[in-house]
Amino acid sequence: MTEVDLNPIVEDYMRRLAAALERAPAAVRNELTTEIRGHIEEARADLVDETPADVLNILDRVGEPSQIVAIALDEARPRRRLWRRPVTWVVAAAVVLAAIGGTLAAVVGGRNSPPSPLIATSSTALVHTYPATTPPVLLETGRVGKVTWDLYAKVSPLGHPVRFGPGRPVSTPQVPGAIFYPGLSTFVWVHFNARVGAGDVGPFGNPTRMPQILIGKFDPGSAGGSEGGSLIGTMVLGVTSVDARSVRITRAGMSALTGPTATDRRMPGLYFFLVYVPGGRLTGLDALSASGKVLAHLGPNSLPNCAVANLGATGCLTPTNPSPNFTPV
Amino acid sequence: MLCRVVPSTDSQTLMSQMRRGSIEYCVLALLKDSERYGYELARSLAEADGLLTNEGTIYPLLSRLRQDRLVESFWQESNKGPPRRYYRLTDEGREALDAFSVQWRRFRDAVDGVLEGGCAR
Repeated sequence: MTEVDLNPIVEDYMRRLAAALERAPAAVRNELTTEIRGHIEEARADLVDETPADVLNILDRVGEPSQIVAIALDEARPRRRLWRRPVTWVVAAAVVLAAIGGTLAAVVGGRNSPPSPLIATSSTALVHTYPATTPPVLLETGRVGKVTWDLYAKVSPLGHPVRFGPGRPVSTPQVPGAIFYPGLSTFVWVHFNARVGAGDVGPFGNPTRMPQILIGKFDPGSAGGSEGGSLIGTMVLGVTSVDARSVRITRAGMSALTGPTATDRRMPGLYFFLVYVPGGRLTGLDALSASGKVLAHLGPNSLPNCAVANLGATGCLTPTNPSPNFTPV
Repeated sequence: MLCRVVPSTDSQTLMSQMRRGSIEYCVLALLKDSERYGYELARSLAEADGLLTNEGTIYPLLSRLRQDRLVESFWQESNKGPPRRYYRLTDEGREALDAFSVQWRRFRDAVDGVLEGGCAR
Protein backbone atom coordinates (compact mmCIF):
# COMPACT_ATOMS: atom_id res chain seq x y z
CA MET A 1 0.00 0.00 0.00
CA THR A 2 1.23 3.45 -0.82
CA GLU A 3 1.98 5.48 2.28
CA VAL A 4 -0.18 8.60 2.37
CA ASP A 5 0.63 11.70 4.36
CA LEU A 6 -2.43 12.08 6.56
CA ASN A 7 -1.34 15.21 8.36
CA PRO A 8 -2.95 17.55 5.81
CA ILE A 9 -6.35 16.06 6.67
CA VAL A 10 -5.80 16.86 10.33
CA GLU A 11 -4.35 20.28 9.60
CA ASP A 12 -7.33 21.12 7.43
CA TYR A 13 -9.59 20.19 10.36
CA MET A 14 -7.50 22.34 12.73
CA ARG A 15 -7.73 25.25 10.29
CA ARG A 16 -11.50 24.95 10.29
CA LEU A 17 -11.45 24.85 14.08
CA ALA A 18 -9.24 27.96 14.19
CA ALA A 19 -11.60 29.76 11.82
CA ALA A 20 -14.61 28.84 13.96
CA LEU A 21 -12.74 30.06 17.04
CA GLU A 22 -11.75 33.37 15.50
CA ARG A 23 -14.13 35.43 17.62
CA ALA A 24 -13.75 33.38 20.78
CA PRO A 25 -11.85 34.81 23.77
CA ALA A 26 -8.13 34.06 23.64
CA ALA A 27 -8.30 31.79 26.67
CA VAL A 28 -11.03 29.63 25.12
CA ARG A 29 -9.26 29.59 21.76
CA ASN A 30 -5.90 28.47 23.14
CA GLU A 31 -7.25 25.85 25.48
CA LEU A 32 -9.66 24.28 23.02
CA THR A 33 -7.09 24.16 20.23
CA THR A 34 -4.58 22.44 22.50
CA GLU A 35 -7.12 19.95 23.83
CA ILE A 36 -8.57 19.02 20.44
CA ARG A 37 -5.14 18.58 18.88
CA GLY A 38 -4.07 16.40 21.79
CA HIS A 39 -7.27 14.37 21.47
CA ILE A 40 -6.66 13.70 17.78
CA GLU A 41 -3.04 12.74 18.44
CA GLU A 42 -4.16 10.34 21.19
CA ALA A 43 -6.67 8.71 18.88
CA ARG A 44 -4.13 8.38 16.07
CA ALA A 45 -1.59 6.87 18.44
CA ASP A 46 -4.06 4.03 19.06
CA LEU A 47 -4.04 3.03 15.39
CA VAL A 48 -1.60 0.46 14.08
CA ASP A 49 -1.74 1.19 10.35
CA GLU A 50 -3.77 4.31 9.92
CA THR A 51 -5.55 4.99 6.67
CA PRO A 52 -7.26 8.17 5.47
CA ALA A 53 -10.57 6.56 6.43
CA ASP A 54 -9.30 5.98 9.99
CA VAL A 55 -8.30 9.61 10.34
CA LEU A 56 -11.60 10.83 8.90
CA ASN A 57 -13.46 8.58 11.34
CA ILE A 58 -11.50 10.09 14.22
CA LEU A 59 -12.37 13.59 13.06
CA ASP A 60 -16.02 12.59 12.70
CA ARG A 61 -16.01 11.36 16.27
CA VAL A 62 -14.39 14.57 17.49
CA GLY A 63 -17.19 16.52 15.85
CA GLU A 64 -17.78 19.43 13.53
CA PRO A 65 -15.67 22.43 14.64
CA SER A 66 -18.60 24.83 14.49
CA GLN A 67 -20.62 22.65 16.88
CA ILE A 68 -17.72 22.31 19.33
CA VAL A 69 -17.11 26.06 19.29
CA ALA A 70 -20.81 26.81 19.79
CA ILE A 71 -20.76 24.67 22.92
CA ALA A 72 -17.47 26.20 24.08
CA LEU A 73 -18.88 29.71 23.77
CA ASP A 74 -22.02 28.67 25.58
CA GLU A 75 -20.00 27.10 28.41
CA ALA A 76 -17.79 30.20 28.67
CA ARG A 77 -20.80 32.45 29.30
CA PRO A 78 -21.03 33.72 32.87
CA ARG A 79 -23.69 31.69 34.59
CA ARG A 80 -24.97 30.73 37.96
CA ARG A 81 -23.08 27.79 39.27
CA LEU A 82 -25.19 24.67 39.38
CA TRP A 83 -23.61 23.55 42.59
CA ARG A 84 -22.47 25.60 45.49
CA ARG A 85 -21.09 24.06 48.62
CA PRO A 86 -23.42 24.91 51.49
CA VAL A 87 -21.82 27.23 54.04
CA THR A 88 -22.84 26.08 57.45
CA TRP A 89 -22.58 28.00 60.68
CA VAL A 90 -19.94 25.49 61.78
CA VAL A 91 -17.59 26.53 58.96
CA ALA A 92 -18.25 30.22 59.56
CA ALA A 93 -17.64 29.84 63.29
CA ALA A 94 -14.42 27.90 62.68
CA VAL A 95 -13.06 30.65 60.45
CA VAL A 96 -13.89 33.37 62.96
CA LEU A 97 -12.41 31.39 65.86
CA ALA A 98 -9.29 30.58 63.86
CA ALA A 99 -8.75 34.23 62.99
CA ILE A 100 -9.20 35.30 66.62
CA GLY A 101 -6.94 32.47 67.74
CA GLY A 102 -4.20 33.48 65.33
CA THR A 103 -4.29 37.09 66.50
CA LEU A 104 -4.19 36.07 70.16
CA ALA A 105 -1.33 33.70 69.51
CA ALA A 106 0.61 36.46 67.79
CA VAL A 107 0.08 38.85 70.70
CA VAL A 108 0.81 36.31 73.42
CA GLY A 109 3.50 34.25 71.77
CA GLY A 110 5.47 36.82 69.84
CA ARG A 111 7.05 36.28 66.45
CA ASN A 112 10.06 34.25 67.52
CA SER A 113 8.27 31.53 69.41
CA PRO A 114 7.87 28.09 67.80
CA PRO A 115 4.73 27.73 65.73
CA SER A 116 1.86 26.78 67.97
CA PRO A 117 -0.92 24.46 66.91
CA LEU A 118 -3.16 27.51 67.11
CA ILE A 119 -1.08 29.40 64.58
CA ALA A 120 -0.90 26.35 62.37
CA THR A 121 -4.66 25.96 62.56
CA SER A 122 -5.40 29.60 61.88
CA SER A 123 -2.88 29.71 59.08
CA THR A 124 -4.54 26.73 57.46
CA ALA A 125 -7.95 28.28 57.95
CA LEU A 126 -6.74 31.43 56.28
CA VAL A 127 -5.50 29.44 53.32
CA HIS A 128 -8.84 27.87 52.82
CA THR A 129 -10.70 31.13 53.11
CA TYR A 130 -8.22 32.91 50.87
CA PRO A 131 -10.07 32.21 47.65
CA ALA A 132 -13.17 33.78 49.16
CA THR A 133 -11.57 37.06 50.13
CA THR A 134 -11.53 38.58 46.64
CA PRO A 135 -12.25 37.07 43.27
CA PRO A 136 -9.18 34.94 42.61
CA VAL A 137 -8.18 33.25 39.41
CA LEU A 138 -7.28 29.65 40.03
CA LEU A 139 -4.67 29.16 37.39
CA GLU A 140 -3.65 25.60 37.85
CA THR A 141 -3.45 22.78 40.31
CA GLY A 142 -0.75 20.22 40.23
CA ARG A 143 1.70 18.16 42.16
CA VAL A 144 5.35 18.63 42.79
CA GLY A 145 6.71 15.55 44.47
CA LYS A 146 4.34 14.79 47.30
CA VAL A 147 3.02 18.30 47.46
CA THR A 148 -0.14 19.44 45.75
CA TRP A 149 -0.03 23.06 44.78
CA ASP A 150 -2.68 25.54 43.83
CA LEU A 151 -1.63 28.53 41.82
CA TYR A 152 -3.74 31.63 42.15
CA ALA A 153 -3.64 35.15 40.86
CA LYS A 154 -5.92 37.76 42.26
CA VAL A 155 -7.34 40.59 40.27
CA SER A 156 -8.18 43.92 41.85
CA PRO A 157 -11.45 45.71 41.07
CA LEU A 158 -9.48 47.85 38.65
CA GLY A 159 -8.40 44.79 36.76
CA HIS A 160 -4.76 44.78 37.77
CA PRO A 161 -3.16 41.79 39.42
CA VAL A 162 -3.06 42.34 43.14
CA ARG A 163 0.40 42.65 44.55
CA PHE A 164 0.75 40.49 47.63
CA GLY A 165 2.93 41.80 50.51
CA PRO A 166 5.61 42.78 51.35
CA GLY A 167 4.64 46.21 50.20
CA ARG A 168 7.89 46.95 48.48
CA PRO A 169 7.26 48.99 45.34
CA VAL A 170 7.77 46.87 42.29
CA SER A 171 7.19 48.65 39.03
CA THR A 172 8.63 46.00 36.77
CA PRO A 173 6.69 43.26 35.02
CA GLN A 174 5.73 40.54 37.40
CA VAL A 175 3.66 37.42 37.75
CA PRO A 176 2.05 37.14 41.16
CA GLY A 177 0.93 33.82 42.47
CA ALA A 178 0.50 31.75 45.54
CA ILE A 179 1.32 28.25 46.61
CA PHE A 180 -0.51 26.36 49.26
CA TYR A 181 2.07 24.39 51.19
CA PRO A 182 0.35 21.61 53.13
CA GLY A 183 3.35 20.88 55.29
CA LEU A 184 3.74 17.29 54.16
CA SER A 185 7.48 17.41 53.75
CA THR A 186 10.32 19.26 55.38
CA PHE A 187 12.26 19.75 52.20
CA VAL A 188 10.61 20.49 48.92
CA TRP A 189 11.81 22.19 45.82
CA VAL A 190 9.48 23.98 43.49
CA HIS A 191 11.06 24.89 40.21
CA PHE A 192 10.06 27.62 37.85
CA ASN A 193 11.02 28.45 34.36
CA ALA A 194 10.49 32.16 33.82
CA ARG A 195 10.06 33.17 30.21
CA VAL A 196 11.44 36.56 29.43
CA GLY A 197 11.70 38.73 26.40
CA ALA A 198 14.72 38.32 24.16
CA GLY A 199 17.60 40.44 25.40
CA ASP A 200 15.92 41.15 28.71
CA VAL A 201 18.23 39.09 30.85
CA GLY A 202 21.76 39.50 31.80
CA PRO A 203 24.55 40.03 31.70
CA PHE A 204 25.34 37.02 33.82
CA GLY A 205 26.40 37.85 37.31
CA ASN A 206 24.43 41.07 37.33
CA PRO A 207 21.70 40.42 39.88
CA THR A 208 19.83 43.58 39.00
CA ARG A 209 18.94 42.15 35.61
CA MET A 210 18.19 38.59 36.64
CA PRO A 211 14.67 37.29 37.15
CA GLN A 212 13.91 37.41 40.82
CA ILE A 213 11.35 35.81 42.99
CA LEU A 214 9.97 37.27 46.17
CA ILE A 215 8.57 34.74 48.57
CA GLY A 216 6.42 35.63 51.49
CA LYS A 217 3.85 33.97 53.61
CA PHE A 218 0.40 34.83 54.81
CA ASP A 219 0.58 34.22 58.50
CA PRO A 220 -1.79 35.59 61.13
CA GLY A 221 1.08 35.53 63.61
CA SER A 222 3.20 38.04 61.74
CA ALA A 223 2.77 41.74 61.32
CA GLY A 224 5.34 42.23 58.60
CA GLY A 225 4.47 43.68 55.24
CA SER A 226 2.04 46.39 54.34
CA GLU A 227 -0.63 43.91 53.25
CA GLY A 228 -0.51 41.52 56.17
CA GLY A 229 2.07 39.08 54.87
CA SER A 230 5.58 38.42 56.02
CA LEU A 231 8.54 38.42 53.68
CA ILE A 232 10.53 35.22 53.98
CA GLY A 233 13.13 35.93 51.43
CA THR A 234 14.08 37.63 48.23
CA MET A 235 15.91 35.35 45.91
CA VAL A 236 17.94 36.10 42.89
CA LEU A 237 17.37 32.94 41.01
CA GLY A 238 20.08 30.67 39.83
CA VAL A 239 20.25 30.59 36.08
CA THR A 240 21.65 27.51 34.47
CA SER A 241 20.93 28.15 30.84
CA VAL A 242 19.78 30.98 28.65
CA ASP A 243 18.48 31.16 25.16
CA ALA A 244 16.67 33.87 23.30
CA ARG A 245 13.32 33.11 24.85
CA SER A 246 13.68 31.27 28.10
CA VAL A 247 15.65 31.28 31.27
CA ARG A 248 15.88 28.10 33.22
CA ILE A 249 15.59 28.74 36.89
CA THR A 250 16.31 26.22 39.56
CA ARG A 251 16.19 26.07 43.30
CA ALA A 252 13.41 28.57 43.55
CA GLY A 253 10.22 28.67 45.47
CA MET A 254 9.93 26.47 48.46
CA SER A 255 13.63 26.38 49.05
CA ALA A 256 13.15 29.63 50.91
CA LEU A 257 11.29 27.70 53.55
CA THR A 258 14.50 26.11 54.66
CA GLY A 259 16.21 29.47 54.81
CA PRO A 260 15.77 32.50 57.01
CA THR A 261 12.60 31.41 58.75
CA ALA A 262 13.47 27.95 59.96
CA THR A 263 10.38 27.61 62.12
CA ASP A 264 8.29 27.78 58.99
CA ARG A 265 9.69 24.54 57.66
CA ARG A 266 6.81 22.44 58.81
CA MET A 267 4.19 25.11 58.74
CA PRO A 268 1.31 24.60 56.41
CA GLY A 269 0.21 27.83 54.89
CA LEU A 270 -0.16 29.99 51.88
CA TYR A 271 3.05 31.28 50.39
CA PHE A 272 2.88 34.02 47.84
CA PHE A 273 5.44 34.84 45.28
CA LEU A 274 6.23 37.46 42.74
CA VAL A 275 8.42 36.66 39.80
CA TYR A 276 9.75 39.63 37.97
CA VAL A 277 12.53 40.79 35.74
CA PRO A 278 13.91 44.18 36.73
CA GLY A 279 13.84 46.40 33.70
CA GLY A 280 12.81 43.59 31.40
CA ARG A 281 9.83 41.75 30.04
CA LEU A 282 8.49 38.68 31.75
CA THR A 283 6.35 36.81 29.27
CA GLY A 284 5.35 33.76 31.22
CA LEU A 285 6.09 31.25 33.88
CA ASP A 286 6.41 27.49 33.84
CA ALA A 287 6.00 25.35 36.90
CA LEU A 288 8.35 22.39 36.67
CA SER A 289 8.57 19.08 38.43
CA ALA A 290 11.78 18.16 40.21
CA SER A 291 12.82 16.16 37.16
CA GLY A 292 12.38 19.18 34.89
CA LYS A 293 9.06 18.28 33.34
CA VAL A 294 6.79 21.21 32.66
CA LEU A 295 3.67 20.82 34.77
CA ALA A 296 2.00 24.01 33.71
CA HIS A 297 2.77 27.02 31.61
CA LEU A 298 1.30 30.31 32.65
CA GLY A 299 1.61 33.25 30.40
CA PRO A 300 0.75 34.94 27.21
CA ASN A 301 3.07 32.85 25.10
CA SER A 302 2.66 34.32 21.64
CA LEU A 303 -0.41 36.43 22.30
CA PRO A 304 0.48 40.02 21.47
CA ASN A 305 -2.29 41.63 23.55
CA CYS A 306 -1.41 39.92 26.78
CA ALA A 307 0.90 42.37 28.48
CA VAL A 308 2.09 41.08 31.82
CA ALA A 309 0.49 44.05 33.56
CA ASN A 310 -2.99 42.87 32.65
CA LEU A 311 -2.58 39.13 32.47
CA GLY A 312 -5.17 38.51 35.14
CA ALA A 313 -7.64 40.96 33.69
CA THR A 314 -7.60 39.64 30.17
CA GLY A 315 -7.58 35.97 30.97
CA CYS A 316 -4.21 35.53 29.34
CA LEU A 317 -2.91 33.47 32.22
CA THR A 318 -4.10 30.23 30.79
CA PRO A 319 -2.33 26.95 31.29
CA THR A 320 -1.34 25.67 27.90
CA ASN A 321 0.84 22.97 26.57
CA PRO A 322 4.51 23.16 27.33
CA SER A 323 6.29 25.30 24.85
CA PRO A 324 8.18 23.36 22.19
CA ASN A 325 11.04 25.76 22.80
CA PHE A 326 11.56 24.48 26.29
CA THR A 327 14.54 22.18 26.59
CA PRO A 328 15.20 20.53 29.93
CA VAL A 329 18.82 20.80 30.98
CA MET B 1 -52.36 16.39 30.57
CA LEU B 2 -49.75 14.42 32.43
CA CYS B 3 -48.31 12.40 29.58
CA ARG B 4 -47.20 13.66 26.22
CA VAL B 5 -46.64 11.37 23.29
CA VAL B 6 -43.22 12.00 21.78
CA PRO B 7 -42.98 11.26 18.08
CA SER B 8 -40.02 9.06 17.15
CA THR B 9 -38.55 11.84 14.97
CA ASP B 10 -38.06 13.86 18.17
CA SER B 11 -36.05 11.15 19.89
CA GLN B 12 -32.74 12.82 19.11
CA THR B 13 -33.93 16.14 20.50
CA LEU B 14 -35.24 14.39 23.57
CA MET B 15 -31.92 12.58 24.13
CA SER B 16 -30.07 15.84 23.61
CA GLN B 17 -32.18 17.60 26.24
CA MET B 18 -31.78 14.79 28.76
CA ARG B 19 -28.06 14.59 28.06
CA ARG B 20 -27.61 18.31 28.63
CA GLY B 21 -28.72 18.15 32.22
CA SER B 22 -26.83 15.06 33.21
CA ILE B 23 -23.63 14.84 31.19
CA GLU B 24 -21.52 16.84 33.62
CA TYR B 25 -22.49 14.54 36.46
CA CYS B 26 -21.58 11.55 34.31
CA VAL B 27 -18.13 13.10 33.94
CA LEU B 28 -17.92 13.58 37.71
CA ALA B 29 -19.01 9.97 38.20
CA LEU B 30 -16.27 8.72 35.89
CA LEU B 31 -13.76 10.59 38.03
CA LYS B 32 -15.16 9.22 41.26
CA ASP B 33 -12.61 6.47 41.70
CA SER B 34 -9.66 7.50 39.57
CA GLU B 35 -7.97 10.32 37.73
CA ARG B 36 -8.59 10.29 33.98
CA TYR B 37 -7.55 12.35 30.99
CA GLY B 38 -9.82 14.01 28.45
CA TYR B 39 -9.53 11.45 25.67
CA GLU B 40 -10.21 8.62 28.10
CA LEU B 41 -13.31 10.39 29.46
CA ALA B 42 -14.59 11.15 25.98
CA ARG B 43 -14.23 7.55 24.85
CA SER B 44 -15.97 6.21 27.96
CA LEU B 45 -18.92 8.54 27.49
CA ALA B 46 -19.14 7.93 23.76
CA GLU B 47 -19.25 4.19 24.35
CA ALA B 48 -21.98 4.55 26.96
CA ASP B 49 -24.86 4.46 24.48
CA GLY B 50 -24.36 7.85 22.94
CA LEU B 51 -23.94 9.95 26.07
CA LEU B 52 -21.46 11.97 24.05
CA THR B 53 -22.05 12.28 20.32
CA ASN B 54 -19.16 14.63 19.56
CA GLU B 55 -16.07 13.79 21.57
CA GLY B 56 -14.65 17.28 21.14
CA THR B 57 -17.50 18.81 23.11
CA ILE B 58 -16.20 17.32 26.32
CA TYR B 59 -13.38 19.87 26.55
CA PRO B 60 -15.53 22.98 27.00
CA LEU B 61 -17.43 21.04 29.63
CA LEU B 62 -14.25 20.03 31.45
CA SER B 63 -13.08 23.62 31.31
CA ARG B 64 -16.25 24.80 33.02
CA LEU B 65 -16.11 22.05 35.63
CA ARG B 66 -12.58 23.18 36.38
CA GLN B 67 -13.62 26.81 36.69
CA ASP B 68 -16.45 25.76 38.99
CA ARG B 69 -13.81 23.85 40.99
CA LEU B 70 -15.71 20.60 40.75
CA VAL B 71 -12.63 19.04 39.16
CA GLU B 72 -8.96 19.95 39.14
CA SER B 73 -6.37 19.09 36.56
CA PHE B 74 -2.69 18.47 36.17
CA TRP B 75 -0.43 17.62 33.25
CA GLN B 76 1.45 14.38 33.00
CA GLU B 77 3.78 13.03 30.37
CA SER B 78 2.46 10.19 28.26
CA ASN B 79 4.47 7.30 26.93
CA LYS B 80 2.65 7.70 23.63
CA GLY B 81 1.55 11.01 22.20
CA PRO B 82 1.46 14.46 23.76
CA PRO B 83 1.37 15.27 27.51
CA ARG B 84 -2.01 14.51 29.02
CA ARG B 85 -4.12 16.72 31.16
CA TYR B 86 -5.53 14.54 33.91
CA TYR B 87 -8.63 15.45 35.85
CA ARG B 88 -9.63 14.49 39.33
CA LEU B 89 -12.63 15.16 41.51
CA THR B 90 -12.42 17.87 44.15
CA ASP B 91 -14.21 17.61 47.48
CA GLU B 92 -16.76 20.03 46.12
CA GLY B 93 -17.18 17.88 43.01
CA ARG B 94 -17.75 14.82 45.15
CA GLU B 95 -20.41 16.62 47.14
CA ALA B 96 -22.06 17.81 43.94
CA LEU B 97 -22.07 14.26 42.57
CA ASP B 98 -23.54 12.86 45.77
CA ALA B 99 -26.26 15.49 45.78
CA PHE B 100 -27.07 14.83 42.13
CA SER B 101 -27.17 11.06 42.68
CA VAL B 102 -29.83 11.44 45.36
CA GLN B 103 -31.93 13.80 43.24
CA TRP B 104 -31.46 11.69 40.13
CA ARG B 105 -32.72 8.50 41.80
CA ARG B 106 -35.74 10.34 43.15
CA PHE B 107 -36.47 11.81 39.71
CA ARG B 108 -35.90 8.51 37.92
CA ASP B 109 -38.19 6.64 40.31
CA ALA B 110 -40.88 9.29 39.93
CA VAL B 111 -40.74 9.14 36.13
CA ASP B 112 -40.66 5.34 36.14
CA GLY B 113 -43.66 5.31 38.44
CA VAL B 114 -45.66 7.59 36.17
CA LEU B 115 -44.63 5.75 33.00
CA GLU B 116 -45.45 2.36 34.43
CA GLY B 117 -48.75 3.72 35.69
CA GLY B 118 -50.29 3.88 32.24
CA CYS B 119 -48.80 6.50 30.01
CA ALA B 120 -48.89 4.23 26.97
CA ARG B 121 -48.35 5.78 23.58
